Amino acid sequence: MINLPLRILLIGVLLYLVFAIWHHKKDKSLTFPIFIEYLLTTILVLVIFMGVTI
Amino acid sequence: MTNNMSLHNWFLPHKDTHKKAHLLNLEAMLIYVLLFIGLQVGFSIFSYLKPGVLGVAGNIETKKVIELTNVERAKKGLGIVVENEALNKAAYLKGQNMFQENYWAHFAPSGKSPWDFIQGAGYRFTYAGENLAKNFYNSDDVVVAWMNSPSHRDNLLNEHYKDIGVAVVTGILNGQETTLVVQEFGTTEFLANKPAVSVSGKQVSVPTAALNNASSVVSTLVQGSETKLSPPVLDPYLFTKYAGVSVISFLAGLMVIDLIVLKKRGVLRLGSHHIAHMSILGVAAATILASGPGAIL
Repeated sequence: MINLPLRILLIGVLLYLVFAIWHHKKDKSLTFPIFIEYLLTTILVLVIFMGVTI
Repeated sequence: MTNNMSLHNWFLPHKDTHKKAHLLNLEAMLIYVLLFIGLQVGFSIFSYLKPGVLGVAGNIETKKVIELTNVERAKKGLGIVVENEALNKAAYLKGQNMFQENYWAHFAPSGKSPWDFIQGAGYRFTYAGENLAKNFYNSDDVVVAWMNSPSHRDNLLNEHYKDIGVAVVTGILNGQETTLVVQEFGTTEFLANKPAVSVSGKQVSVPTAALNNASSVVSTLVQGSETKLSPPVLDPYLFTKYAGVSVISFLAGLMVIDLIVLKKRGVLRLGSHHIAHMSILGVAAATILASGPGAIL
């Protein structure tokens, strides 16, 4: 069972990543450092969330 | 080089190149991630080395849990469940056993089942059920969590139940001080089906052999003198929550400063993606603040 805060965070992260990839693909600016920047932000929020709940 | 490493470059975009503050760059982000992973690993190792120092101190009352359960039942037009001493004992024995065998489940690693505790405590049921909770801070949150889970809600609002027993037991589980809440429901009234127990949304028929040897099972249960534990020194979940929200707020603050400074300089960097980052940081802060370590089973 996934609780509501986790569900909201997962949907938020998914939208964030999909939007980022779509946006950077569109203007052909998706470089490795930019991708890593989004990825690290995602990992950071998920790691903190896990530390609070698990 | 000296100019690049000056203090204001850690917090503000670079004067000449307008690059992001050092504390917002990739290396800094990697360090934040590693720090929080290290914190979790550190808590796990420390819990193993020094059991009981870390943990959650809950303030949960059995009477309040029973009262809130009956409030929820009344909302659905169901009869109240009456506190039963034998079920209270069964719940207490179950909680103690989880600490003794160090598990978090309806069935013990040694094979003990919910009906072993209920029958062993002297409650001859025809239908029974069990809800478990751990690491909650108050009684209201426990019942709300059960009500938000379909299988636990079905158990709590089952029309067959007439009696209830609740125990709040504190002990060391996986090296951390933990408050367990065990809720046992039951009825001794005759039902058409053979005796069954409802756990995790499933009806489990009680084996005939188990009905006959309940007294022998209960003799193996250590009723244990409850050792008075001092409150844990540190709550790792609350610590992570406050540290996490602080770091997230700090990063969002740096991004706002970055945007303001660059706007003032007239060199707004469109490739900063700050709005997207701030949005996800905001969602993360809200969900982290709304979350806790409470778990139900």
